Amino acid sequence: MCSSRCLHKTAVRGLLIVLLAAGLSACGGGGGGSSPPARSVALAWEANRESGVNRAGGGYRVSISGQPTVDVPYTSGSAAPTSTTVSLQPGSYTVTVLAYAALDAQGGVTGSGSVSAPSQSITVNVP
Amino acid sequence: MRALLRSIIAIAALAGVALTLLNQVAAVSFEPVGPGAYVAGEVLVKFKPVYSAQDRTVTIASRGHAVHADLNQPGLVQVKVGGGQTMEQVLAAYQNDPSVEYAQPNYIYRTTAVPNDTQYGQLWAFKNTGQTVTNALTQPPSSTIYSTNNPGAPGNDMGIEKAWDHITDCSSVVVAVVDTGVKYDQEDLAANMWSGGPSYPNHGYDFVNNDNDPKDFDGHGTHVAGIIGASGNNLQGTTGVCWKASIMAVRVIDATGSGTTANIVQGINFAVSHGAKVINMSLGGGGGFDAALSDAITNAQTHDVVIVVAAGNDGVNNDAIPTYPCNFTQSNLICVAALDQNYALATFSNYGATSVDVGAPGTNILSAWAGTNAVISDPLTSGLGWTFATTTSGGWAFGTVSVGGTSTPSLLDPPTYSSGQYNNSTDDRAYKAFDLTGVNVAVWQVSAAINVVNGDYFRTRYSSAGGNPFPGGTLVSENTGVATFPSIRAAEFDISGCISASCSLGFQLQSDAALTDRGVAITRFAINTLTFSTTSYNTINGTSMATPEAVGLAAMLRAYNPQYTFADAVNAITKGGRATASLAGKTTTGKAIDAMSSLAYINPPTGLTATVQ
Repeated sequence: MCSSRCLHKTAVRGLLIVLLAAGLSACGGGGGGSSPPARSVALAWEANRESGVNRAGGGYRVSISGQPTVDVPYTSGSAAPTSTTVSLQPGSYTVTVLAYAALDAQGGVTGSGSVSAPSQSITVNVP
Repeated sequence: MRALLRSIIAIAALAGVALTLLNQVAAVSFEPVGPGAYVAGEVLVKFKPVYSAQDRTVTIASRGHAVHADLNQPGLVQVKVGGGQTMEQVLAAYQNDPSVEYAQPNYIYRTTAVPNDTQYGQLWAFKNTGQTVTNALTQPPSSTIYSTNNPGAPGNDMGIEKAWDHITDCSSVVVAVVDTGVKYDQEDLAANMWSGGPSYPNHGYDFVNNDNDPKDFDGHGTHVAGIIGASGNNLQGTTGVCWKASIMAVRVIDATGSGTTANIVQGINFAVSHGAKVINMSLGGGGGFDAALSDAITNAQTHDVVIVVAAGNDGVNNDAIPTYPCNFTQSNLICVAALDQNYALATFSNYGATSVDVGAPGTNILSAWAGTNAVISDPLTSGLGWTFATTTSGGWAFGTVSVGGTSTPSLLDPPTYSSGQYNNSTDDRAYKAFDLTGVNVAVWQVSAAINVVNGDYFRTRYSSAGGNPFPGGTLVSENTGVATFPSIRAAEFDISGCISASCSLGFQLQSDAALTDRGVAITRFAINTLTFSTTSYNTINGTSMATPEAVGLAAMLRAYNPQYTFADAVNAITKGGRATASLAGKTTTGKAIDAMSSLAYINPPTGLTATVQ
C-alpha cells in the first residue's frame, strides 16, 4: 500500500503520461503541424501570331484562380515567352491565359492597348 | 559644420520663401484627363512666372519626381514622375499646387496618314465627311449614282486612316482578283500589279480566252482591283485600301459579264498555286450548290487562302434563297453585304443572318475603270438604215408591244405579232450596219420575247463587212422550241469581232412547213462599247464594291502580321468590326468592317497546358 509520497509519485507519473499523450496526439496529424510543400507547375501555350504581342508592349497574362495574375511580357527576340512556371499549393486551380499588345483600336500605342479574350480554361490539380 | 549649417539655413530660407509664396495664391481647378495617348510616366508642368528654375526643381523633387527637360517655354517643365501613382493622382497634386499654372499629360500626336490622291475627297468609304458623291465620268449607263443617303453621315466609314498610320504597304501579300480581268496598265494600278515573271508578263492569266493576257474587257475587275490597291499618295486618281499592293489579275468572266464554273475553278486554282493569299470574287449566281466550286474553295482553305465574296445585288435573303459562293460554309470564306453612306443596308444588297458575314461600303464607290463607255441605241421606231427581206409575206416590221404596262416600240415578226403567228416555210431577215470605228469592245444587248416551235429558228448574226449577215456572217445565237411570251428575256453578246466601220447586225426567223407560233418581239437593241484608256475612273454600286474593301483589309492584316493564318485574318475581320444597327439580324456578326479595330484585334491564345513537376 502506498504512502502519501507514493500516491504523489503515482499522480505525477499519471499527469506526465497524460501530458505526453496529449503532446503525441497534437503531433500525430490530427491538424496543426507542418504544411505539405508547394509544387512547381509549368504552364505553356501556343504563340500568338499578332506582331504586336511579340514586340515591346506585348505579351501574355496568366490567370490562376485564387492567385495573383502572372504577367509574361515580351522582352527580346522574335517572340514573347509562351511559358511560365508557378508555385502552387496542393489544390485544384482554373487557369487561362490572354494575350495583349500596345496597339489599341483607336490607333494609339501607349494607352491601355488591346487584350484578347481569354483562352479556353484548363483545370490544374496539384496533389 | 558651420558651412553645412549655413547650407541648411539657406535651403530652409529658400523653402520658406517658396512656402510664403505658395500661401499667397489659391489653387486652380483643371479639366480631368480625357482620352488620348500620352507618354506614361511623364507630365508637363507650367509653373507661374514668379517661380525660378530652382523653385521648380525643389517643388518637383519634393514630390519624388525629377526634371527631365526644360522645354524652352517660360515655366514649362517636362517631369519624370516614376511609378506608384496614377496619372490622375499626379496631375491632381500639381493642379492643387498654387505655384502651378497648369499640368497636363505629355500627349502623343501622330501624323494622320491622309493620301494626296486627287480624288480622295470622293472616297467616302475611307473617310466619310458627309460629302456628296458625284459621277466620276459622264458615261453611260447613266444615273449610276445611288441617291439614297448621298450625302451620308460623317464617320460612317471603314476607319482606314488610323490604320494607315501603321501600315499602307500590303505588297508582301499577293491578292488575286478573279473577275473580268484587270486593266493592268491603268495609271493608278500599273505599279501595284503582281509580278508573274516571264511566264506571266501581264500579271495573271485569262481563262476566258485561255491566254496569258488578263486584260479587262468590261471594267468591273479593274474597279475591284482599284478598291483593293490603287496606288496611294501618288497625286492622282484614287487610293486603294492598300497604297502598295500586289494584285494578280485572273480573268474568268467575259465582256458580257458571264463566267462558268470551269473558268472560275481554274482561276481559283491558278491563284492558289501561284502564291495568292487572298482572293476576291465579286460574283455570284449559278444554278444552285456548285460542288466543283466548293471543292476549289476548300482547296484554297487547305493552302491557307482567304476568299472574300459578294452577297449579291437582288435585295433578297440569302438564307431563304441561297446564292453561291456566298452560301458556302468553308471557314476561309467571308461574304460581304453593301452599306450606303449612312451605313444603312443598301436597298439592292442581299443579306442573311447565317450566310452573310459583314457589311462594307458599297454605294457610290469611285475607282479605276478600263476605259470610256458609250451606248449606241436603236429606237426601233424607224426603218432608217434597216433592211427587211422575206420569202413569203409580212416578215419583220416595226410596231409596239406592252412591256410592264407601257407601250414599247419594238421590231416584230410577224407584223401582226399581237394577234397572229408567223408564216410557215418563211425566211424573214432584218439587219442594219453600225459604225464601230475606234472602239475596243462591243457588246450587243438585245431584249426579246421569243416564241418559235421546235424546228423553227430565231437566229442573230453579225458581219464586220457590212451588208447581209445571212449567210456568211458569224452566228451569235440560235433559238428553237422556246416560248417566253409574255416574259421579255435580255441577252448580251460579245461582238468585238465585228468592230469595223460597217458592223452589220441581223435577226432571222426561219420556219418549216409544220406548226408556227406567236413569233419574236425585239423590245431593246443597243450596243455598249468600251474604248480602252489608262486614265479612266467610274463610280458604281454593288456588293461587288464592298467585297474588295474586305479583301484589302485581309491583305493589310496579313502584311501587318506575317505569321497570320487564314483563320486569324478571318477572325480579325469578323470579330474586330464595328457593330452596325442595319446589319443586326441581317449578317452573322452584325458588324461593318473596321480597319483599325481589326488591326488591333488579338486572337485568344490556344494550346494552354500545365505540367505539375
